[in-house]
Amino acid sequence: MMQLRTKYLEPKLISQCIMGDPHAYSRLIAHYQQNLLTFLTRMCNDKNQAEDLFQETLIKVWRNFPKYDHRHKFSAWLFGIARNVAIDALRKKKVHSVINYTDEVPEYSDPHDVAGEVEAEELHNDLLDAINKLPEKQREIFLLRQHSHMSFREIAAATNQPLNTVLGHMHYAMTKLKKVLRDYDINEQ
Amino acid sequence: MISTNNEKLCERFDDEIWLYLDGELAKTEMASWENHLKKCASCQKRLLEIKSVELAYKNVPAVKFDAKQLQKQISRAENTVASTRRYQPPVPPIFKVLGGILLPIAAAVMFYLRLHPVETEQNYNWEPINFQQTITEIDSSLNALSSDLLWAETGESAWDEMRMDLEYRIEDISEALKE
Ligand SMILES: [Zn+2]
Repeated sequence: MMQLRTKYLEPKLISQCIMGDPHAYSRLIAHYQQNLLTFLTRMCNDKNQAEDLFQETLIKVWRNFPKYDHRHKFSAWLFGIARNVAIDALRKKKVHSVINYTDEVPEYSDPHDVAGEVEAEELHNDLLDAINKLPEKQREIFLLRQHSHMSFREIAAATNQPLNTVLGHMHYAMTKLKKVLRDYDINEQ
Repeated sequence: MISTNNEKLCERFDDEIWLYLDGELAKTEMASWENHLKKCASCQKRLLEIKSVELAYKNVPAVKFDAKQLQKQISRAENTVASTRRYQPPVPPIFKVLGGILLPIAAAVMFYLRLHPVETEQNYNWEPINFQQTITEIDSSLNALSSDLLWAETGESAWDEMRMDLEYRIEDISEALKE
């Protein structure tokens, strides 16, 4: 389904956006908004700020549409811009580490498996906490990878860094996050 | 000896694992890693751990935002940018092509006609014909003819009159149709 969308609908919406059709833009963004907002929230650890950054991203993307290159994946371009917006904001704010974690406590629907629920909730919180504690560059690469589904080469291009630097950040981020899962015996059968 | 060889291989896999996941290594390299993975439990574990972290993160529920609030944000962004770029409704490509071909042809034809005007004979006026009425009249004339079984009893002059009348009307209609 995702592929059908990216193959047929998305290119059409994008060319309408390039010509300046705001309605097409709403439709295009609707597909990404949840993912984009979650990405921004986890980049800056602040839901309210993420909403502002989201709006800033929307405006930047719209303004830059005439420069959009069809050969690139739209999601890569979109998240590249969102990432720049977030990084700029973080620089201005000079956030060094965890300040106020505002990611909402997830809701679980299955009322029977209480132990499982609690365990999953703890895992999720620990994982988010660990992501939060990653150095900014590692967190950025990890989150970009998870939300934009870019390849590492694409991430390197979007963040203007050598591929090996990107891979290094990912490697260190992953090493730390693996430890969280080990506490939950996820990989021990 | 096999184990040190393997260790070196495994270390290399650790470096290349990301590009392996992206399928961005040379074909032969991809194949040789797949081969190695079949035999090497520790590299399988490396791969599995990465996938587990990614899966666990994927399972963390997305941050919830108020849909109405979001819509407001989007419209506000739209308003902000509306002044910077004006919407130009697209011209479908087929019209561009047709326009490109047909307009020069039309211009050429008009230019030619201006140089060589066509002389027409359509300067006389036609009486407007009421077709329905004419047809009804023809119909009734024919009825009169056919009901008059004994032609001999019909005066010749009356028959001629009727026939001529019919011929005129048919001529009228066919001329009008030609036009
Ligand atoms: Zn190995």
